Amino acid sequence: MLLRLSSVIPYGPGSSLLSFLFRSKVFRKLFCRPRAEWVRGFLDAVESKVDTEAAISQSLVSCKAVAWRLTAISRADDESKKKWVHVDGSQHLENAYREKKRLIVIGSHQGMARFVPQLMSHMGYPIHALAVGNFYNGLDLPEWKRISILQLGESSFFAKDVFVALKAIKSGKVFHMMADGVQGKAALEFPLVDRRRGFTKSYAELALLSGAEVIPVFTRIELSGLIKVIFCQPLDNGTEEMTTEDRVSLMVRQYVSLLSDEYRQDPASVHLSHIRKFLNYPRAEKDGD
Amino acid sequence: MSLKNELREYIINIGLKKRVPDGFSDDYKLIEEEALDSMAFLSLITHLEENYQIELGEEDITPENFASINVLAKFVESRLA
Repeated sequence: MLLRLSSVIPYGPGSSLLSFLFRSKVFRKLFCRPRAEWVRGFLDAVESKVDTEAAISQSLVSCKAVAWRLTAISRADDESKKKWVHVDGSQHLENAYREKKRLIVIGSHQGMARFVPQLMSHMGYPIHALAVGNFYNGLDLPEWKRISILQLGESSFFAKDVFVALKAIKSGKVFHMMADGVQGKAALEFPLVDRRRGFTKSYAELALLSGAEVIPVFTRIELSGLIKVIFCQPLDNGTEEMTTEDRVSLMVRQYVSLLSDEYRQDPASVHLSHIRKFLNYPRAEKDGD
Repeated sequence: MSLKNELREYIINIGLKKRVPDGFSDDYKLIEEEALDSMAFLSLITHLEENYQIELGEEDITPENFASINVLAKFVESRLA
């Protein structure tokens, strides 16, 4: 009901209103005290130099009113979309897709990560997205009507999900999934900034089996509501001489390195649930220890 | 080479040696014993599709069809018939 009512508010004015609210010290003190503590701890952990108060406000922008943002930006005219959504690295997508028609795009839990499949669909790519939960069910988004969804865990047999994903990639659909999820089996351990945690390797395995390129994407959101989507270069997938295990490891290592950079550069965009988990991960041993 | 032997050889070669006992029987429970992880499973499916020209659908991907070498061979034979 609230979403339906709020969906008439255009993206620009709505973003300004939220920005004003989230900047307010009174609002943050009343409603966001625990979040503020987590964000402070996180900024220290990643040795970030960003202003703490601004980071707390930005953290709210990353996590609150996401459904409204997705709806409002979907309804915005082309001029507003251009104003509020900046895309970097779209040539990496174009090149990889043009060359092979086999592509996996991996997102991370930061900023407006949920916006990526919608954006790529708007850009004209046929998308098959891996989804967890039913977040998108109640949203009236025309872009999502064109997106095929693989609901993780719906099948009782683990192999069915990966089979569906493989078929989608081979049929020319761009497969989108999160690469830093904390559910399921965390297969490979690498240091994220200075913490040790496991990461899924399924996108790397799928890529090697299907011959697809893997492109990481990061989606920052500024306090003003400006969404910055950054498509990276495809991950290096090694050579035929390497073992499959080594090639998979190489790809996951590169992704984790990019994610570590992102944590340091834009810590306020990292979702609160991941901040909390991060602060509880054990410290990684430094080289030479 | 018989279909069963070919499947056995392929399954061993996709890197399952660590998880499958030497000389495992054709009734060894591949799924129940978690001998096939997702990567091995996808390799096997790709192998079946490419080598036997079988097109598999979502409905074919069940634990029952891949339970053991014996079961898998029967499944492949049924699709080739």
